[in-house]
Amino acid sequence: MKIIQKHLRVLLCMMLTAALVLSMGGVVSAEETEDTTTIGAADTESNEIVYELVAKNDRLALYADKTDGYFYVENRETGKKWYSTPADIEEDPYTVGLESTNLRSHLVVEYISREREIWADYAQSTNSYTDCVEHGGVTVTVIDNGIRVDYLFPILEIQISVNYVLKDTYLEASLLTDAIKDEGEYAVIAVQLLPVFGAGSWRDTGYLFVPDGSGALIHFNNQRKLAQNYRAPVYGVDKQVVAETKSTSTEAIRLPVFGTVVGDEALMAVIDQAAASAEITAMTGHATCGYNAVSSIFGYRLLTSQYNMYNRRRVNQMVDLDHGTDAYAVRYYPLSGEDADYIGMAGAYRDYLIAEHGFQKRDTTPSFHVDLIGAYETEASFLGIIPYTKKVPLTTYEQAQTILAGLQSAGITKLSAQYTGWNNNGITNVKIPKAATPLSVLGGKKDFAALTAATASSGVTLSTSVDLTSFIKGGNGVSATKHAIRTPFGKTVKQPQYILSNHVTKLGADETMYLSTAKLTDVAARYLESLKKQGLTTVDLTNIAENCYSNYFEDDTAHRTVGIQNVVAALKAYQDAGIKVTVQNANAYALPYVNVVTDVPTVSSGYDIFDEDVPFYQALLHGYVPYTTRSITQTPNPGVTYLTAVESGSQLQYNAIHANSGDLFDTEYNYLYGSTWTLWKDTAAKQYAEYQPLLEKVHDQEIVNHAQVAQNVFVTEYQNGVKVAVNYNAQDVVVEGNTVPAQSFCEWEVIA
Amino acid sequence: MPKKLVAFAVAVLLLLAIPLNIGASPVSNVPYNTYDYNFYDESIAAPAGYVPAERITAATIGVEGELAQPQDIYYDGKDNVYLLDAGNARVLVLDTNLKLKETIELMAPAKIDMSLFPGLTEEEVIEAVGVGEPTKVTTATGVTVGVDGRMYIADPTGECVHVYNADHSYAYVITRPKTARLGEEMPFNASKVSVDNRNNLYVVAKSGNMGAFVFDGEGNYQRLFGGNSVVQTAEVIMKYMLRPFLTQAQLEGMQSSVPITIANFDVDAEGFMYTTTIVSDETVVPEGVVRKLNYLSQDILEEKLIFGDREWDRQSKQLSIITSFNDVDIDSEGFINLLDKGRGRVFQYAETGELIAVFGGYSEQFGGFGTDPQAIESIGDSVIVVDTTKNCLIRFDPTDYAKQYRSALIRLKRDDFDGSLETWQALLAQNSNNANAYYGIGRVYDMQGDYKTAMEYFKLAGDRGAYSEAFQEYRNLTIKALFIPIISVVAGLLVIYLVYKVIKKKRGKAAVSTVGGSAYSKLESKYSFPLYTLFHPMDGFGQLKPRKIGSLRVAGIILVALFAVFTLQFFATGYIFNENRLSEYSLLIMLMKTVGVALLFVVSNWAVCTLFNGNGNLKEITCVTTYALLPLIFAMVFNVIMSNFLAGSEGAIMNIVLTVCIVWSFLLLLCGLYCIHEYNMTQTFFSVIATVIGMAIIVFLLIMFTSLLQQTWSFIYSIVLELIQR
Repeated sequence: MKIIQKHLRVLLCMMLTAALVLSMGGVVSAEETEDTTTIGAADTESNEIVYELVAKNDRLALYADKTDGYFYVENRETGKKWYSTPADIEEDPYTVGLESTNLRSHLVVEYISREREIWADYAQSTNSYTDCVEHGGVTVTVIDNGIRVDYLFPILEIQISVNYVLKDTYLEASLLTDAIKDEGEYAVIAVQLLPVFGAGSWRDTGYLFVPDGSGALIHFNNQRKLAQNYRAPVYGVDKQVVAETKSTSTEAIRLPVFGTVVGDEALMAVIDQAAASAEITAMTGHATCGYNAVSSIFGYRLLTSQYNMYNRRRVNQMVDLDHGTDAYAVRYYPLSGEDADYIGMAGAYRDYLIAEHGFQKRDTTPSFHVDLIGAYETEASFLGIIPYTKKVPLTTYEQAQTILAGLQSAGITKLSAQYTGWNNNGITNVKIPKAATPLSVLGGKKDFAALTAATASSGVTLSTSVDLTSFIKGGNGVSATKHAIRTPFGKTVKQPQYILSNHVTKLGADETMYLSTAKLTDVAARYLESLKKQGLTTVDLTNIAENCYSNYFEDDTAHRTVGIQNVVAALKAYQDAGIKVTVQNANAYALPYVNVVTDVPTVSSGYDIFDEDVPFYQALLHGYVPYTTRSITQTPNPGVTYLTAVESGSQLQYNAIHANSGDLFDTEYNYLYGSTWTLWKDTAAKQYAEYQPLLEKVHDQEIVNHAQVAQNVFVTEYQNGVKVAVNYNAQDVVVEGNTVPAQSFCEWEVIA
Repeated sequence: MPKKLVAFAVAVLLLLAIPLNIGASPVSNVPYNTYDYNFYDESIAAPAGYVPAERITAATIGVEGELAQPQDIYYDGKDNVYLLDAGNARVLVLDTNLKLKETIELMAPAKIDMSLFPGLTEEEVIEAVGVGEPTKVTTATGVTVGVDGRMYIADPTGECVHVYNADHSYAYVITRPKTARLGEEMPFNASKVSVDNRNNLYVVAKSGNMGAFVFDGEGNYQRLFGGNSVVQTAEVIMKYMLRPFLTQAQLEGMQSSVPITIANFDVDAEGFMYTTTIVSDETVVPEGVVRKLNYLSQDILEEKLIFGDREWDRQSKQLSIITSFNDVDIDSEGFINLLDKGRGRVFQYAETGELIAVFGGYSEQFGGFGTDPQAIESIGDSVIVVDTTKNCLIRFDPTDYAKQYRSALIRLKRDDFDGSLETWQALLAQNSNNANAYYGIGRVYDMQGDYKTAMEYFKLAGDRGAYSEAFQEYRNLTIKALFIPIISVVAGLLVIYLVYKVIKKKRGKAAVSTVGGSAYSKLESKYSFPLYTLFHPMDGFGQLKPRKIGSLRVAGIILVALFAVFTLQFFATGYIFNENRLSEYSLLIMLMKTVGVALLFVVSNWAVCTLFNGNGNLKEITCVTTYALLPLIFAMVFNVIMSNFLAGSEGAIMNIVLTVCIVWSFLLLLCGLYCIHEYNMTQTFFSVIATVIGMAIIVFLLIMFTSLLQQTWSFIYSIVLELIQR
């Protein structure tokens, strides 16, 4: 008998080992699944999750486990429960390794040992299940409408506290920055908050939404095992990070919002506090991962590095940050029914912006945007003997009139114009501009006055462009040593240019510095006075809302969460002065203070983990703030860009110079290769004639639906029932009885 | 059936076989840089030529599971695409829309380890133990299909090529050929295969460095192909002499001695084989990396074509360029697609070397590859890249820009200029940096006889050869048109001159006698003295010392003239002969090149000759050195003027003039130094050599001094910085 038992035991051991090995290798069969489940079951018996009602209101209810802090939010209308960690985790046949404990965690903590600060190449990672729940480190306190959970990681001597509070329409998770205790050997670098809240399982159908570029979807269980998980910083990479090489072009996150859609239910998350310190991350289901989840990571400290020339190594530095707030707060909004998709999320996020940040409806009258380009500076020398800086005109004020009049007579009647390089140093902002004064090389004050008079009488909105954030040299009251942002190592940040072919930095080319936001306030105010003096009521502040950066220069030190406040104040000052502000590709915080957003991408970065791009940013703005595409001739595939503009309800934008762009061949501005206005005039006029009538109908309407109805065929639906089908295929297709011509679009109205 | 009908039917069938247009992609942005090279070999922005259109996975193809390390793809040009799904030991036969038609499992008979049966032949062993169970071929890296439908699978690990019949049954295996050319220790790790239209099989082995192995339709080894045809003359003679004493095997082993490692190949529609070669230890991609070989293994691609990236990667660890082509594909219209393993890019070229598009790259994005893209194939104008790491294929489609560019180039190649002006102009509207569009337009005007406009466009294209030819035509026309006026003007001037002379003669007879010509009349002015020395160096420079006629002011004027002439040459030389980039002009460098060098010579000569008992003083040396430069200055002025009137082929005249004048200047210098230092000729000669060495020493000392100064400065600067920042 004993022998048999012994044999059985050996056999069992072998089976278990085999199961482990096999499941780690990603090969899973039904039998082995059972085994893994039993192992898991043995663990959970001791700490079974007991959910108790903690708070409730008309729409939502919060249930929590008072030992380990696990919770779920119930949507009382539909009964949908959103679990902080998956409820069916024991049945998960796929997930292996570290991920499986992350699935049981509220926090994933990245930390380094203070002793190894200088040489730590990357932060180590642990989660609240392994190092906290397993050690009984969780303390749950019931507070008003919610719970406070203190997560103590006894081995690492780290404590992190999070409040989970139920509000009218959402659950707010606030990671209390002041309550983070890590005085021991280990220091917290970043905390991933609720990594799997609302996760979709291998059984579910749905998708994750991430706000990369215009927005992107990751379908549940898309099996992209070889693709890296998505992870990108909100508001783009901080400008104080200088890359050694640049090989790919990516889009940035402009909106601090993400979400999960499971069937008819959705959970949208908005980062309410310290969004500029956050990253958004997403993982998808595949052979060794059973769940699909999107969440945010709070960058508590900065771990940065610098190349040390002497010993040819990178040296790290850990920097404590002032996030300008006492909590990193994320709101989770359960949505259901018609709102449970990315367009619904865009609407919900817009409601949030309106309620919390004063986002408002602007004049949305559609127009064709033309970005006029004035002059550029170049080094010249008189017979090679006396060097001097020369301004070369590309579009003078008089020629600008010619272009605008020419476009209007070609049928493009409703026009808006930005005017880049019309003052200061021309296209490249060598120095931060002092005043809004016309350039003599472009025709001087007299011609400029004629231009403004002409635009006023022909109904063209003219916004003169100005760059108040980036510069090449000190001057005009701005000092490169005092006012340019610096890295934590005390080095002035100089963003280089990169060679297109081999991606390394271009030697001898201009390097861009960024103006500290404290100084930006002064500079913006000074320029505003000058604008007023000139009698200008519109301005294009270009990259002010796109460039988001921190400064680590002594007393000026300001993490970008704080820097943003200066930018917002500057924008607000312009609004209050009655100036209509145009900006490029704006980050969320700027949206309430702008009248037009230009250069909005119609695509995402196209990461391998993504399944499709969606016009989320556009759906947010449509009917509220007008927005344009990037300059169409400068995009890699202009014909397709036009179609994406139609699909996303964007207004069209073209670059215009009066000179022959071929003359720029041997200058650093040769990227303007398709900008000569006469060359694109006819195409643009055709597009305008085709597209403007549609925009006239829908410009003040919200986008209420957007879907792919067939391969490469998309339908966008507006509040008033207008539907637009865009067909990217080379053949005509029929959508709801309407023929959509190849590589074109078709609109119709649905009578409700 | 009448012949015409057959031809028609074939044409219809071919038309049907052209892949259906799979549809434009909704990609309006790409993750990679889109660029072109300007004529200074710098990358500049350009519109995208190709954009990623579709990610092809097992799901889109229509098979279960996932692809596993797909290694190679072959399109038969008609209706079948063969995808080698190596990890799954199968070949997926797809239609041109890349949907599954059928699956071919790759099974091979078990390999018999002959070493276990010493003394027996293979047949005997099979008879004794049987063939054994067939095994899966999971390590294959190359696939191709012959015109007879036979499929060839290269298996480097198995060191063989598996051959399957058209009905997918196993035909035979090709193993290591018995030839002296393949060294004993060298494995036959066949990695890629290709079949030409005569049904010859070409096999590339990873470690082979003498070209591809050629087998006939029955798998018999024929020869080596595509080894480097460059053989040193001495070697050829040696071989010829040794020939009678060598065995056949030895002879075979001697054929080609320059090793060349073929990375991959493709056969075009006409049966020419394109190969790519692995290069290492080069700072730029050399010529001949991509070759188009005829049956005799001769490269018939235009000479001096450079493929791949041209900018040196400063930050790369190696000093070599990173471009390394691991596959080549010739599409149905003859364009060359090259897959660069170095940066994971595809380069598309016309056969004549024009770069059409660069796309792809290593990234985690749609349109970027994993670490190891293995193969490239084209269906129509779409390009398909096999991404072994990401287990998928990426289809790239041309943008409107690339489509127009390709068709314009095809027509240019055929000298078909009808309406091509509009095509080129449409291209320019999209990319005003496209040099080939300027060239194309230039060609159109050239054909129409509008040489002046053609010249303008050739200039924009940076094509000096074409410009020169058009210029020649233009000049001929101008001369023809102006012939009669010019002749009349010249004749008129001649008549006036003659009349003037006659009158002068009559009036001036008395005057000549009163002045009394002196041979030294020109010596009397220090300004005209340098001109006298031009033709009377010994006499002239001989007078320099005793009569003290040298003038530093004149020397100064000549130096300024020297500088002015060099500057003039930089800016005013005719376009055909002027390769200077105006923005690169530097005053300092120009001054150093002219005045600096001259003064350096003077100082050095003075120093040297003071040591060696030369009698010349500094002023005399300065005068001699500068006066001797006059012929050079005249030659350069002459050349600058002539360069505006000569065509490229006539440039030799200018070289001759310049050479003559340089020699002249040098002789003047020698004579002058000879006179003022009162040396003999040998001494003079050696003093010049010593002077040059002296110049080098002075430069060296100057550099030392400046670098020392710089270091001191940076030391002080860092201390100051430290003080400020602390």
